[in-house]
Amino acid sequence: MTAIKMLKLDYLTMKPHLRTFSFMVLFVMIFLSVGSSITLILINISWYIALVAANIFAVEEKHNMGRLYGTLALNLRSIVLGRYLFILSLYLVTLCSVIIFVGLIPSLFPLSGNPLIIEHFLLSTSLSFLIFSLIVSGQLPLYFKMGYNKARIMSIIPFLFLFGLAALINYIDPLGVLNKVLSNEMGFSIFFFFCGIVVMMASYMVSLKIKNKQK
Amino acid sequence: MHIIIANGSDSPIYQQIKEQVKEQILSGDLLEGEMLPSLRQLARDLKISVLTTTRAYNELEEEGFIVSQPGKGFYVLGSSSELFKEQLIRTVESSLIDAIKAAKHASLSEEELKQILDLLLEVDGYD
Amino acid sequence: MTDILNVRGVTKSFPGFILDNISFYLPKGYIMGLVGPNGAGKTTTIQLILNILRADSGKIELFGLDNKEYEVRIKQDIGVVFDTSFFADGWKVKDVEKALSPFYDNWNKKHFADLIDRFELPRNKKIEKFSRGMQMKLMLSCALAHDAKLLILDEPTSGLDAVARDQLSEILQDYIKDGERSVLFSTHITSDLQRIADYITFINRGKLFYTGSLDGLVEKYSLIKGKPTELDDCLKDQMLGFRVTNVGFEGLAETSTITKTQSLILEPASLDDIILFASKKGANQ
Repeated sequence: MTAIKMLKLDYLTMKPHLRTFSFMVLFVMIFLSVGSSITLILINISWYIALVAANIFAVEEKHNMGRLYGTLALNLRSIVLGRYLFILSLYLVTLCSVIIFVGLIPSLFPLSGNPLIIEHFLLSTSLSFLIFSLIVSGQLPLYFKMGYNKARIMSIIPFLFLFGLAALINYIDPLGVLNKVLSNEMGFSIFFFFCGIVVMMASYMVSLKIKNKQK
Repeated sequence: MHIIIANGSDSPIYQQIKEQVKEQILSGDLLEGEMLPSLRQLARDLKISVLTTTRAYNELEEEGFIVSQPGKGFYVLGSSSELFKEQLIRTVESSLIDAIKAAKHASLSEEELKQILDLLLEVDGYD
Repeated sequence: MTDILNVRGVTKSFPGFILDNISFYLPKGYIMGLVGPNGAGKTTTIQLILNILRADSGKIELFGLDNKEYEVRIKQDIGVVFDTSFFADGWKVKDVEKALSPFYDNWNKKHFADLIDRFELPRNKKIEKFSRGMQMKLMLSCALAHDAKLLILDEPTSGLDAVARDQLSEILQDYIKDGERSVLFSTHITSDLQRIADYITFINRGKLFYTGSLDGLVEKYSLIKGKPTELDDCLKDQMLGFRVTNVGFEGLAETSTITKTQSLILEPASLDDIILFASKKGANQ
């Protein structure tokens, strides 16, 4: 339960910054929603949120809030878990608002999009989630280990890794993979979600271990 | 009760408290049975540590000036207490010793010294 | 009766620094000063107590409970004040309350509001615009609002003016007045402590130099002053640290070891003198 309190503390920490951030999201969404597929929008928010989420570490470091966490009635596990939950909920809230927004757009502007196919939509969402969790899972242990300033450059690694992966798939057999995925959208959606969750959990364990070692 | 702490003083703070409480008991400003401020109240008021006030009160208790009643506080002991009487006698003795020393310096004879004492007793109306 | 804080044989090593076998205890109802020059290990000690760092060996108990096993429960009853505030950008007083109060079962909204009024802290001003003294009072308010039994202050007075320091002394004395709470106060400005501290724990270069009552420490040592010619090797050995000039010398020694000669001057040492000379001794070695 204390992890939830930590999530709330993280939220309050970021609150003064969140307004600018939500304007940005709104702006990006409006920009993208004209003529873009929902897949593209969802994938874009995944890396965008991952980028924004790193700011909590910047604020923490700037104000030495690690000291505050050390004094509060909570243990290390809650600190780390709370941080993961905060970033996850930031993503989920954005995802939901994007879905509502994009869901509204076609009814407002009938020309701007294709009708929503539920399998297609699920696949896009799960892919977005997988990308998000891959980036975040790579970044967070780095931030926990080195702090924001030192890890900032390193945090590009997960992005490079993803680009590499995409390039690799593209190089080997782009159509084969794509066809396989499209032929079983439901199955792959579940698989992507599952992978995302597993990767996040593994990352959480690694971060916790890092934090424990730092003591 | 009133206590004034002199920062520049050579004697430590607990000693200053002791002296001033003693003085006020001996002069009758503090009466038998009167309750002293609590250790923690006094510490706070004088902005000194609790251990310092504790030490001052404990030594005053050992010397028979005050008594602690567990759970209540410290009270001034009356002149009827044996310890208190002893203490007074000691004060008399030490003052007289000072007087004797001064007399020696002044090369007064024993007779002359006694005369001064008698004279003072008469003036003060001691009987 | 259990102590509020009991540190037993705690050791923690870092590359280039060892906090070596530190033991001390703080009974209920008293103020303890944790002193020593910068870098002596005061902050490390506090971090070990708060379980921010884990000791290599030794044991720390708060309110009679192990500080690792019962961490969350113990921290319910601890309040901590640092030299600068640890609050995020853009927060105001009410955000601080919102952020911290969920962590404490004993958080008293009314008490917090009263403290903010008493310390005259502005509610509409952002905390990063607060002065050092105001930030310190805000941290204190948080500690007092959840009815902490132990208040830990880590260099709270650096950057405070004399008025704010005096107010702090008063607040701390009020805080321990009922005899149920204690204060652990780390500082290198000893004038803050000279009067209000009951106990002193003096750490020098990671080693425990002294722990016990302040009176005990001050009585244990004396200042010696004399002519340069009187400073022989025997005296040098006896002294913990000393300073020689062309016209004389000045040093610190245990009162019991000094054989007083005619021309040597013995004076009671202040806490400052003791810290100064004792840390010099370490530097000479």
